[in-house]
Amino acid sequence: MQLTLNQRESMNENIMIIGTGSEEGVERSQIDAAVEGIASASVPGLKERAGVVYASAEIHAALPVRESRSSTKDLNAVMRGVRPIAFLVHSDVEILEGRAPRSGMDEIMVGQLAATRLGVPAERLAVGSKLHFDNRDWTISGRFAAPGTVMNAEIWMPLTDLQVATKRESTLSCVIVTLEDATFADVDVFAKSRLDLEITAIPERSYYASIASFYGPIRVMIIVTAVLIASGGVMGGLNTMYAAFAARVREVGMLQALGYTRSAIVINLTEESVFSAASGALIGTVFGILLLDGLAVRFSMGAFALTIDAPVVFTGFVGGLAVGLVGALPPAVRCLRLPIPEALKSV
Amino acid sequence: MKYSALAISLISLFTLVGCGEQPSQTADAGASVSVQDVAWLLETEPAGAVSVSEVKASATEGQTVVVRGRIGGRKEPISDGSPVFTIVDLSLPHCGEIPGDKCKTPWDYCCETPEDLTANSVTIMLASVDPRVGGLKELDEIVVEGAVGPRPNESVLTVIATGVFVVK
Amino acid sequence: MSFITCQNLTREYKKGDAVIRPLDGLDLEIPRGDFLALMGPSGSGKTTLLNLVAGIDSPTGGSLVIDGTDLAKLSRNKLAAWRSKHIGYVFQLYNLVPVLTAYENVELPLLLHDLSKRQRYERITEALERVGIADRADHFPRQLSGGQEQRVAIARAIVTDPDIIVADEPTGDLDKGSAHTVMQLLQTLNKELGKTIVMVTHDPKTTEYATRTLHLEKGRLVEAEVAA
Repeated sequence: MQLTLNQRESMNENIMIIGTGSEEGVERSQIDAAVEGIASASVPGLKERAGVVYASAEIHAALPVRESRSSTKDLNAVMRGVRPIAFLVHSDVEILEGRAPRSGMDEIMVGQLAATRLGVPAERLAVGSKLHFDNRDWTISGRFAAPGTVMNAEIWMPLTDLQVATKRESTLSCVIVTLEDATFADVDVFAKSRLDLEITAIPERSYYASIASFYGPIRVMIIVTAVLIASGGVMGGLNTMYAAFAARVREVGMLQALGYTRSAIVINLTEESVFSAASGALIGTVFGILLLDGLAVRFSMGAFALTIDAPVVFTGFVGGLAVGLVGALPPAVRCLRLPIPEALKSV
Repeated sequence: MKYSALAISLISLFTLVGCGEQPSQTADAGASVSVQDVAWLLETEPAGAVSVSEVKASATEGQTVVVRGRIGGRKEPISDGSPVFTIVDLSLPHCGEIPGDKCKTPWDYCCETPEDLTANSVTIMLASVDPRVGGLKELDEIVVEGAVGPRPNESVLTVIATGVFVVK
Repeated sequence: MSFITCQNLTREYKKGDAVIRPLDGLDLEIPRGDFLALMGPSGSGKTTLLNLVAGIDSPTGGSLVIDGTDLAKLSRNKLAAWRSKHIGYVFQLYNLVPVLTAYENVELPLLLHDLSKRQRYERITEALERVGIADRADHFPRQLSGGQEQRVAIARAIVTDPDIIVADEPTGDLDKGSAHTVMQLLQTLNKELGKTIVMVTHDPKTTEYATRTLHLEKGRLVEAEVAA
């Protein structure tokens, strides 16, 4: 999730112009549709190719969509209404199959993780299939990828179509501009000088970073939950060790009677325990990689893919070994504290 | 069981510690500031200051004005690396002056309507330096001396500042 | 000179404020090659005496000297090393490791000695043959009868060729036929190999195989008799 909200390199050069007071959620932002033209004309040094200024007028909206007209279940989709220039401004976006939706044709295109966001199977959003909202069926004309960004879980459609669907013909959510010779200060000067437009300039990266900080408490909860589950695992592991060793008290007594020293027995028990913990950790890692890696998870801003990478595998495996090592010592010591005659009598 | 209890209490301890609110960001001036960088910072208050709303109502392009206001009006009235900032008429209460308001960014005047805020704000532009270099920060009361920039409409007023005095 | 000498041998435990004395100033001499049966009611101190002789418990008073070694003066680790060399322990409940085969169980005490795999193999095979269970070497304890398990346990006790075999009710968990086999085996070890055997028993029948029987009561000897 953190990686998704940290966004990509291309965002370094993109500045969002959004409504003052809506810095915490672009979906709430409403700015005059004229801002696009005024910004393009007023801020010198924006990126420009073949006479087209990289200024993308966009509407961001969370809309309930249905699988079909007859369906009664609302699915919560994140929509972005865009003009063709958006594909230049957002250089991370790559069309995987099909084509961009055409204005007025009730067409949409879906991000790679949009299906996860909606909670439907990926096949359900294949090119050519339909979704229902605003009393109409919309045909999926293409699929795009924007790996590691919130866009990856969005549904994109022509700006004018979304303006009609959201009944906000004369307003936008934001204008996103790409810098070339200009700096952020140039856009900021424009935004702060045009008090009449009630707009604020904010680097796209900072915007998503502040959204990420908004999710801070959720991250804390996730970490606390993970720690609780992990400590449950440790407690379970310790319990198992105690039970396993308690059943072997007599065996330990017998070994001592045969002449084995306590230290030799502790080392032996720890070895056994670490070995079985390592086997368990290995099995857990394999299951983790097979079942969880790449699994997409929904959150309100979109969806992100779980990553079981080398550090995660390493942490899990070392954690498992630590349970084996630390978990073995207390019950082993407890086991050996018993005098041999008593250990031999234990049932 | 006793281990579980211990673990849970330790975790709650960490959680509680983690819940403290982070202090609002108010960067202080850099340690080494050359005299040239802050030449616009005035030692004495310029005479004849008028309020933001008065200036806004009457000033014309090219006119020299002295205006008094408070730095604020949006979540980031001062942005890193940008020479412009906004000030608000002193008659408008900022969120910190409203009892019971626990706004983390009281300088954004989020309790005012956008129309009132626009009518009571002006933009201050320094000669290509960051206002923080001179120690300016959100909610500072200041008096600005300068010339009025272009006014495409009555809502827009930028003062190209020649001097800024911070009221202590 | 006797092989095992107990002088004023005392073992006390503290249980709360009370002091329990299972062995109370016992004097006893056991010559080399003796097969001694210890009898007595529960709590008479016979198992405590056995454990002291086996070196898995330490006296709190008096002295216990075995073949010139004062056990009370040995450190915990030295005592462990001494046990591995001089003692073969036969338990009432056999105490075989369930996940090891009969062969591997017998091998356990040998791992403490500096022997090659070949030497271990020879010793284990000889021990298993002596107890008549060589054909079951690859069996796990759960695949053996109680009598067979106890014979494996005896093989484990003699595989290191110890001077002394201590046996704690070795037939306590066996049927009559198996008990007879096990007792005959111990008798053979005593007579043919000259092992000194100290055995705790509740069963008067088993004392017939011993060279003498001693009765204990309240931590002291009450009578001595020579077995038939």
